Amino acid sequence: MMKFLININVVFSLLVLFCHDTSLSQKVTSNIKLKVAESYERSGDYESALRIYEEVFKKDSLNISLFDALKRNYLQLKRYDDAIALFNKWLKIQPDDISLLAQLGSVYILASDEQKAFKVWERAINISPKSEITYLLVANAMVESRLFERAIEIYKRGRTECKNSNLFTSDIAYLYSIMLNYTEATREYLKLLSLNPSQLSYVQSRIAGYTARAEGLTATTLVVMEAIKNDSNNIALQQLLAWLYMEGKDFERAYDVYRLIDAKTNAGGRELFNFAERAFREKYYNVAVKAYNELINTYPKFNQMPQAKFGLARTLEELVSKTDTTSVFRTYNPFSPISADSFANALNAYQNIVMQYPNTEIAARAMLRIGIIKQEKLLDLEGAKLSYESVRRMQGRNVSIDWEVKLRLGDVYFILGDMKKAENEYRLLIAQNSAPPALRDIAAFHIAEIEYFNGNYQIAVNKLDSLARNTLSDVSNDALTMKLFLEEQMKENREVLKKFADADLLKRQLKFSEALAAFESIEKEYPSSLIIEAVLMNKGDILTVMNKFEEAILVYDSAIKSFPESINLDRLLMLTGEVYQFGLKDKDRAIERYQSLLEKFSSSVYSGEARKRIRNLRGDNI
Amino acid sequence: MKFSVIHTGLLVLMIVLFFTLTFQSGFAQKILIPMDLRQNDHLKAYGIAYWALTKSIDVDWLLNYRAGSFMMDAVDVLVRECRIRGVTFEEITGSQAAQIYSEIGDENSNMDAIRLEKAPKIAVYVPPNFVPWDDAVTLAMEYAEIPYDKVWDAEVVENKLLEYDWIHLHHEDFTGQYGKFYASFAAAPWYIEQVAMNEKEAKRLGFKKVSDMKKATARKIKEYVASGGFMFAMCSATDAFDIALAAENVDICDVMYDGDSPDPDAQKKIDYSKCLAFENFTLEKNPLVYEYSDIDIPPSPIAPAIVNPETDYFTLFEFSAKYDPVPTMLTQSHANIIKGFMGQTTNFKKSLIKKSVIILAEKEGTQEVRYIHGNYGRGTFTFYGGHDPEDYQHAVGDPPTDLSLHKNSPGYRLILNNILFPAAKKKPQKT
Repeated sequence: MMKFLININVVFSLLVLFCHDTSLSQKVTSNIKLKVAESYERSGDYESALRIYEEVFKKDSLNISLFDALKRNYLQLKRYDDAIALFNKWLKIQPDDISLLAQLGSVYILASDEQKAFKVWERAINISPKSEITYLLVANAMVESRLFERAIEIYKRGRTECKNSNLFTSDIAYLYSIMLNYTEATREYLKLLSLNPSQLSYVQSRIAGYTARAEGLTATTLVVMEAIKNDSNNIALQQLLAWLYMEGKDFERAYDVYRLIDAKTNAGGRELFNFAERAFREKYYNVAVKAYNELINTYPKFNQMPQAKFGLARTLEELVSKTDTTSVFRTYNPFSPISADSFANALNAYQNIVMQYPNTEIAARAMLRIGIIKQEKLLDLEGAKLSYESVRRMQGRNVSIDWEVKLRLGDVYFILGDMKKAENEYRLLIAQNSAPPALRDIAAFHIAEIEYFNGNYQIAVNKLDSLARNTLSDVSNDALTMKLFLEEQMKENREVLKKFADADLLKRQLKFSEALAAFESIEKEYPSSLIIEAVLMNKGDILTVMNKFEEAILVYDSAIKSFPESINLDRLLMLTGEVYQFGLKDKDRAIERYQSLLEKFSSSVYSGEARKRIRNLRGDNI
Repeated sequence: MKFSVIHTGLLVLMIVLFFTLTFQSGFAQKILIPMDLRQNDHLKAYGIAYWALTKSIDVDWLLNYRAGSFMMDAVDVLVRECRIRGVTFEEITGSQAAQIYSEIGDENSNMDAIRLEKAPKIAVYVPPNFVPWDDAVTLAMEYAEIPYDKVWDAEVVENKLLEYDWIHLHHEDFTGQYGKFYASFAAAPWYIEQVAMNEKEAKRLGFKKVSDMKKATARKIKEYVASGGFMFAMCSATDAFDIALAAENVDICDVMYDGDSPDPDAQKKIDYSKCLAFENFTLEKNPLVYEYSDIDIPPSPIAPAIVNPETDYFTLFEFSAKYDPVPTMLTQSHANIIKGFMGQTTNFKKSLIKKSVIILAEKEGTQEVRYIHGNYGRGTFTFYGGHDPEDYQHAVGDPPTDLSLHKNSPGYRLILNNILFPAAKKKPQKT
């Protein structure tokens, strides 16, 4: 009996082993075949891959990987009917598999059978109509088939069925945006924002994808404005709106919103300050002034009040200053005379800073700006001098302020006629090795000029020579021009040169009437001197500054006529063109002069600017 | 009395003779705009020639004379305009002009004078969100102040091209694969917008897929050329155009481009006979590779690694001005060896260019052909490889080229040659 039982066991074990071995061997064979099929697939031989997959699938039809492989290859080969049959086979086993049904819908779309696709999708939804996942799966399949509008419908249906109006917000918003429906996309993103205001950055980043386009920005702004009408206390919405206005460079409107935000968030002026700074940087000065003023008046305890007041003063200054290209050709702009009143607001603002924050860096900067306005805009040199000297006495100033004060004080002393003090300031600046080379070069150039005015021509020439050799310096061209002028005149007649230098000094010291008389005297006394050309040019400049435009034209024209070979002819034509354009407002004559420059001196350094002015005057759209 | 009548008559005759001689010998009758190294602004010079045509001023293009100069009547307004635009010109007398024409007309000289008749009406095929500085041709036209209209698929499909003499194809991918930027820029807002715009347009025009719409557009453009139009394409618009024609009935776009897989036998099914310029090319099937086929050489993915910018030049061929005026016009330049520049399609592989196509420029000793021209029907086409002649390796988002810094660019001159050439009066071909 025992022996029989043992034998049965052995036989039974062998049988089990044999079966196991067979199935194992079959499995190993299948795996090898699958690997071969995958290799075929990777190499693009889908037909061969499919043959193997189909063969293996017959023996293992419940293998999901095989199902995927077959599906993949049928679609690759556009064998849609086979793919559909495969799906239907699986659906017989798993009739309620929503994912399968969703995918089947996509296949029907590929097979151009939309009707069946929608029928299948509907079937998928009906399996579990209250589940979010259902709608996600079906909508995803629609998106893959590029049926965006239908996908949106499904998402919205899902909201209704699941009784949650905030479901699928990101997905719907995204679909609307890629369909270029910015209005609806924004409406969806705002839903996100209303659910969770901390999503503002996310929403902004999504919206930024389409606000770069004008129509995107307009549509979005309108939607946000509409939303604010219904929920004006929503800060996130207000912040979004403010951001949109800034994107559209509508700083006035942005300002209104920032005021509101600041008040509602109890920011204590922080929002207004940041806005004002940005508006200043982007040169929207009017609105920057408003913002600074509001900040200063409404939040007296703002912790950066000195910076805010300085910002306001700076903005007031920039509002009045004008940039123009005429300053390329002249030291002063004679065509837009500026009155002291124009800068009154800026000056008062700076003055207040000085009084309120004594011995601080900001006060030093404020006083420096006062000096600059007086020196450059109002030509009030005594006032400028006092301002710069005040800066010097202030504590809290830094080295960069010091450098600038030295240079400017030197300039002011020079114009006021105190050459020794001027030279002293320039030398102090040059001695500071840490000062920027550009500033030190300017100081060195001015020292050379002082030598010239003092009659030390050779010393001046030597100093100018070393400056001219440094071609990287901003003053090298001026140094070279002056050096050549002096060398030429020193050879000709030193007496005339002395008289010229005296007249030149008067002009530099803004004593225009005396300078004019001095130049006229030289013209009378030395009519055939080579220096007369320079005399006439200076006369023309002075007459322009004195707003005697017609006389200036006569003088310049006289120089043009008397010195037809002069190297300054192009500059003279440019100057006369400017006087006609900006002084006499005679467009046609101005164009004539600029054209004459182009005709005679097409490669002049002024020709580019002359062309630009002609085209502007002509109204060309360039 | 008799005496005074005779004297008066003689006096009048002398006065007439004096003015005639003076007029002939002393006063300017023509202006010559040289296009050799004397020219200050070559690119604006084309603009002046175009502008003159719009003012009904006759323009003669002097092929191979001082690098393709222009001769016009010395009209005051023209002279002024040259000055204002900074274009160098020379005022010459009638006898000097006659001498030039005589030199050009000499049988032994490889020169000819082509009369430009009227300013061609120009269209540029671009999408609505296009910016002019994104395309070398529009950059050149903006700089030279040559006006153009913009057209897109709708206008082409609706046969509006017939209103134009010349069309430039922006770097459009007529195969419907969105420039094959998917791998790098699928999530970029501009790419998403481009896809959305094209899909919307395709739907509006009744096409199931964008690729169908683009292929239809390519066919329409081909018809336009056949009916006498001039077509100029640069960069990827060159090979993509021909591939789209060849794949008329074949799906070559992968699922991320058109929602379904490409035809696995696409390579076998494409029809090279439908192409204008290329044949026997092999498609790049991988949708993630930034290349359409093997027409482009060197292939874009590896070009930056293997090409040395310092030695990258191509050479213009010389043609007979009298016997081959068209290729001569297209190759007018003050430099015949030109600095290379890359693009999505940089050069064309020589062995894949149809024999009927004229090669205008190539990198000598290599398979790299840069510039080609051919006839189709009553019209012509010109393909020029590379994206921007003065931006060696332009990438998406790079700042625009400032042509005022490249106003003598020979690479840009080749573009502008194409714009003027449709204005040429057809001369009987010399035999």
